[in-house]
Amino acid sequence: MTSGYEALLLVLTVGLPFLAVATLALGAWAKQRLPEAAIHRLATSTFGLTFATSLVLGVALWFDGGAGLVWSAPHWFEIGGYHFPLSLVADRLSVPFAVFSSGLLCITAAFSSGYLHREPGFLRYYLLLCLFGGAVLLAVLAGSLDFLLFGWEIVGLTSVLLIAFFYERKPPVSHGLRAFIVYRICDIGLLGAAVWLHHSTGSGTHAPVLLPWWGFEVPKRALDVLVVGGLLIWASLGKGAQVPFGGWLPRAMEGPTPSSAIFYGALSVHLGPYLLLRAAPLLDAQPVLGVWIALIGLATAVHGTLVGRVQNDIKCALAYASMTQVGLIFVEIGLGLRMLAIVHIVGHAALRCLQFLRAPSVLLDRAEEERRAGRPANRLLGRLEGRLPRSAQLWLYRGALERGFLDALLRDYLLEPVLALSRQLDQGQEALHSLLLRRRPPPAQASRASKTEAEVVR
Amino acid sequence: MTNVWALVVSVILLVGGLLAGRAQSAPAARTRATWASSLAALIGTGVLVACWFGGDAVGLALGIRAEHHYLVLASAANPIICFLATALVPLQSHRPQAFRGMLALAAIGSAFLATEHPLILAALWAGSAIWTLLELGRTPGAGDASRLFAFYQLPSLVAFVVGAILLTRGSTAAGAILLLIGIGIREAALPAHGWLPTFVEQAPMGLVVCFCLPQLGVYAHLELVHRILDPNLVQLVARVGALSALYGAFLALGPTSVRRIAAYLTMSQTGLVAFGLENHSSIGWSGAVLAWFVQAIGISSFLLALGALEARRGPLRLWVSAGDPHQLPRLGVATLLAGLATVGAPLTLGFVAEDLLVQGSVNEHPVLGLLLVVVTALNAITVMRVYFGLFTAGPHHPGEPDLVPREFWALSFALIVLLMFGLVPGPLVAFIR
Repeated sequence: MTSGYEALLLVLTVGLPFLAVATLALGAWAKQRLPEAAIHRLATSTFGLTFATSLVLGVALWFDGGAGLVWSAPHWFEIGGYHFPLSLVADRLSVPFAVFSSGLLCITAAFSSGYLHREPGFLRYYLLLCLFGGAVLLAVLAGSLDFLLFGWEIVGLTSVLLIAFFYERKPPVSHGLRAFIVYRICDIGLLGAAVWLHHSTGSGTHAPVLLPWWGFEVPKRALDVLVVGGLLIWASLGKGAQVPFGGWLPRAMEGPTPSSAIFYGALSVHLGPYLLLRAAPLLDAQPVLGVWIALIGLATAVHGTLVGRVQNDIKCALAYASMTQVGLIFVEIGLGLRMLAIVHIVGHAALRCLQFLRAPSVLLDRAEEERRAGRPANRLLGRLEGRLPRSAQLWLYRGALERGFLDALLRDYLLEPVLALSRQLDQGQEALHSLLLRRRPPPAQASRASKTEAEVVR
Repeated sequence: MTNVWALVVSVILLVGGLLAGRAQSAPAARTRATWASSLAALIGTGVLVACWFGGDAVGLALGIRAEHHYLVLASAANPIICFLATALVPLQSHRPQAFRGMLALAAIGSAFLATEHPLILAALWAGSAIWTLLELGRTPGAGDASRLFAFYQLPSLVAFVVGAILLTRGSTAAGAILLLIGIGIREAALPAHGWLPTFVEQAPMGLVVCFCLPQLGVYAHLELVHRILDPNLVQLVARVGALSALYGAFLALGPTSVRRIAAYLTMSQTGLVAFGLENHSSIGWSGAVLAWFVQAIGISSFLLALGALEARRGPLRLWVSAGDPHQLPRLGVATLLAGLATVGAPLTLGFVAEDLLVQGSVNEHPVLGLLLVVVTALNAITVMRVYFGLFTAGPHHPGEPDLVPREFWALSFALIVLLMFGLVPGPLVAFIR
């Protein structure tokens, strides 16, 4: 039974960042010049408070026996037997995520003020960081798939707006758009799963169907389980940067380093595995889903580790290292090693976040080391490749440089044909109207994408 | 008479239009038009907020029958669109008479929502199309749009009028089919959508918004056709709506002309409404009605914000920088938020509309219902593509003003409506069910 103060803690954990967002957004919309120190203090103290409330929630959950604390309000809206549940759940899955998420968010918010000092987009950055933090905590603590979707979509939006943070250059913008395209294509899976879960079980609410944490209700028909499970796996591929959609992840490094740390080192990239952990009852009901997840994860891990070895940019190398680890987490989930996956997620998030935040200073440290030693530092990688035959080495090297040819395949066989067909249909319609109006047809647009759009699909 | 306050709004808009038409200069015309439309918008929104707070009791007190509760939304949307248009359209592309035209169209729209009689509806339908055609004829450089508009809209007009006459004479089946044809052409449903891109490209933005976004066809559909439609035709309408939504979303991915993209986005979102209206479940139907309202406000704000940007920078093409977010932060944010609200982003009313639409339709049309999910994803990509394609790196434009106070308040009003009802949608959904 959840007491009043526990429910209040749950609501505060999710609500405080949104309160900070409202404060910053209203200030920005009214063109109030908020001082950097005030913005920084607001964001840091907000996440500090959410860290504290998450910890207390953890303690309360411990004393409660770990069965799960639930807060649910009257339905957000309801009609004709359908309702959108407003509920939050603190259980053994969501509380660890909430604690480490708010802790890392607090650290990142504290770190960012120095990194972005006097940056024109200082307020924009913190606004998006708070929105992201609120959305992550909402997605994690959501008591239903519908509510999870709510937070999930905001996470995607803030992510792309931060990738395109330095919009003065075109690459960040085109990379942001690329990430958004991947997110939205994969979000089709999440919305589809939410709809199909309602369709097949009558509810999208988490239920204590599987200890040690709550999960989605399992539809009765095997086909429905496969459909919902398949759609959830599809949804997890985008945010989790899994094969074949992971190409956006290294490109997302165009954003400010602290945002790369918290999004792609720590939280956003782990939402995919979180979703699959929440879907554990479905995976148990249809073991073939676990096999798919493990295979995807394995392919991603191999892809990530190979491609990561030829990167000459530290943030890209870290991005591929992230991709590899998330791939391994997928394998663990697919094999049913869920506790291991949680430990892996927490450890990986903390380490990778630190590595991203340290990345700029590591380069300086290394240069200083090499200067003092008078020779290049030892290369740590390359032992495995050295044991392979020369031809295989070259083949792997080329494949890694081309990022496994995945981006080229997606570009040549999916994106460009789709864009070209769309343009041709549009031009065909114009030509038809020219006939009707007996006028000269308008000059045809370029059948290929514009230069910047080519960068998006490259 | 279905709703009296819609008629009051119509009269206010008509008087405002007459006053604007007599103004000596465009700024004076805008001032008069904005005052009249803001008063009308306040009345419409006031009724909506009262119903939002008070629920059925307020509906009863206002004399609104339960089956017409949805009209509260439409009657508020129409003057809000007009208010946004008068406050945001650039004077360089709108003569004093253009403000009269916008208010006249909005007045016709409100009067349309105030009656149920087929012949009066047909007269108003014809009036709005002919008025738009005349305005288009007076617009320099809109020759193609004018001819294409006439080519499509005159058959629509004839079909609607004849359909309405047949309906009053008892030939419901033939009347319904003709009405559907008329509505389909006007709502740019596949395959009669061809006039829309050219119209949006060449017509002044105010005219585009005031003609297209009130979506009078939705009301005509609900009042005249919905109850008498043959089950086979119901299926056909739903399919045409879904396919229009998909086709529009797909075509919006290609062009680089921002107005053309906006036209396809409008077509796609209108298709979603048409699809949802033919749901037998109250969930999908309510989603369609909410989507109707969201699109009226959201797409209008989106188009008019783009129009405001166009007035500052000239014709807009993607990846040719038009707005520096540092210089135009509020215009950029307003464009993005309005667009995202339209395509169902969380925290906005669009999310609620999309959720209901998809959840409600999946039982009846599983495949088409899931297709809608794809459509919303594609439309979101389009909105983001437009935002990133315009508000990005490029030549610096010193001294460029962000939103002026008039534009700021108009867009703030629209965004508050979308966010406020989006955060607390329960009472509204319960009221229109």
